[in-house]
Amino acid sequence: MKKEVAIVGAYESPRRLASGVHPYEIHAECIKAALDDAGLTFSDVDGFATAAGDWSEGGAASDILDLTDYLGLRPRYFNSTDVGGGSYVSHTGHAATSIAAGHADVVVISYAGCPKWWPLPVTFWDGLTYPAGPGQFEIPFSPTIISTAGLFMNRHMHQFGTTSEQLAKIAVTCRANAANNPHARYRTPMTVEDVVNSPMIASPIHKLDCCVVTESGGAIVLTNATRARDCAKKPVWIRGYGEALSSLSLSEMAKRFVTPIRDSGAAAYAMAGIGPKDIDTAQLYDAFTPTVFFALEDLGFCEKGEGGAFIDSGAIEASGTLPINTDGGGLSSNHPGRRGIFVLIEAVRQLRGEGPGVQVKNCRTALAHGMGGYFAASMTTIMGID
Amino acid sequence: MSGKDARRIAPMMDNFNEPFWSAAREGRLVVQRSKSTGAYQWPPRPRLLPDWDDDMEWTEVPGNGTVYSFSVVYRSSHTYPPTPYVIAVIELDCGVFFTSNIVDVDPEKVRIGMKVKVALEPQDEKISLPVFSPRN
Repeated sequence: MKKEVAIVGAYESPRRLASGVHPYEIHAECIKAALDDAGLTFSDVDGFATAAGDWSEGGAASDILDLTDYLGLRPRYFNSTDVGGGSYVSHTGHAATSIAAGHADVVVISYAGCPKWWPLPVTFWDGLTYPAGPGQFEIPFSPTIISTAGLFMNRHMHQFGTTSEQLAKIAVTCRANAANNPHARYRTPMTVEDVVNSPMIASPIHKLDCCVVTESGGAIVLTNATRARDCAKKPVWIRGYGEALSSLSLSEMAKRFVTPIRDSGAAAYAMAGIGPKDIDTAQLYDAFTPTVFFALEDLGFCEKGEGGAFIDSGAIEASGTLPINTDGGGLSSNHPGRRGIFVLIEAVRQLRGEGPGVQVKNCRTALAHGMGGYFAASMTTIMGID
Repeated sequence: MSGKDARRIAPMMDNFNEPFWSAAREGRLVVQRSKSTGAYQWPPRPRLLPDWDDDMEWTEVPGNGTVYSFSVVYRSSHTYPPTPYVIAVIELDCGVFFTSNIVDVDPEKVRIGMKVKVALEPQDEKISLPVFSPRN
């Protein structure tokens, strides 16, 4: 896309713990602040998107109706697609094409979750699917979200010799970035040894390979080129978007060892007319270190099997060729049940020069990657500035 | 979590998958197979991939395979199995992959490439689940 639709407002709640706060209240807070950031008002909003299943991971929405009513919105465009934590990246791509087609002028995308105090349906949170239909052949064996990341990573280690230390460097990099971010959940620097010596949760995933658990939220605002020019901040243009689904069943993991990230990334690059070498910073969904690891390879920043060497080269560090998760990511800064909205917000902040953690110099092109459903869903958005 | 009431989440049988669970209860492992090409399919689907052909049947397969990947689970919100347990993807000799647990072995001894065999583990009067253990 060429300067047709822009993100004009972005806001991440500084909350990291919010005991007793209804997630909807955080939605409202973030929407107001994102609109203020854009120089727009509530009455400008005619489109709304949120993921309708976020209740399974600490949110309060089981459909978009309830939240729309609570907020008092009357959208003529809505989208409640839910493919897990990265859904908000999908909402962004779909909002962009819908705005370009004239279905809405100002679309708000918001997320909030309070998984530490909000009632969490634990069985379904871990299971993702019910023990009926395809899930009946997997759920009885008690897979967990973290063991799924473990299955993919163990196979990669077996096939390519990737090590726990290489994986740990992702978490160490995020923590180093978080050290600069006053809102980050954890800011004390840590080492590779800290990560690999932390308790094993599901091999080869250690505790410090896992995201923080916070209570927070965020929102972004998109509009068309005409209105974007009149907004408070410089437009962050949506340049490319791609998405892909593959099977959810673990028994088919061999078929998706090259994950759907490959396809969603390729589509986003093609729409933007650029390639991985043109990306100044990548905000990569980091529920666990392997979700970053597979994204580095399958988004084409390095070849399949070379992720470990790529990390060893220092490329993903703040001083490297591809700084990632510059706010500290979900691994150190902010990850309620879901991370998707935050990869978008941080990409916008980097392009504006407003990074709260590490700011990439001369950042002109940013990539935000969302994933969901056990490596089954991938969404890639590429953004740029004038 | 574990305790005397700890148990696996039970699969919900439906008409379509009933042949699998009935066979499992009899100690047999069955998967879908194309009548025309002989290709096996798992997990079961309403039709055969990639062409959505419906010329298929349930057929018994020997439950021998190798571990494609695994993870030893030390922390789990499931009540069963007790931790640590092994979640694994097993490649059967006929070419399909099963998700299951590797049992009757020290979890830390499990390796990718380990040869395993199936056992149908009774859960109740209707359901037996395919679990795998090392074989020589």
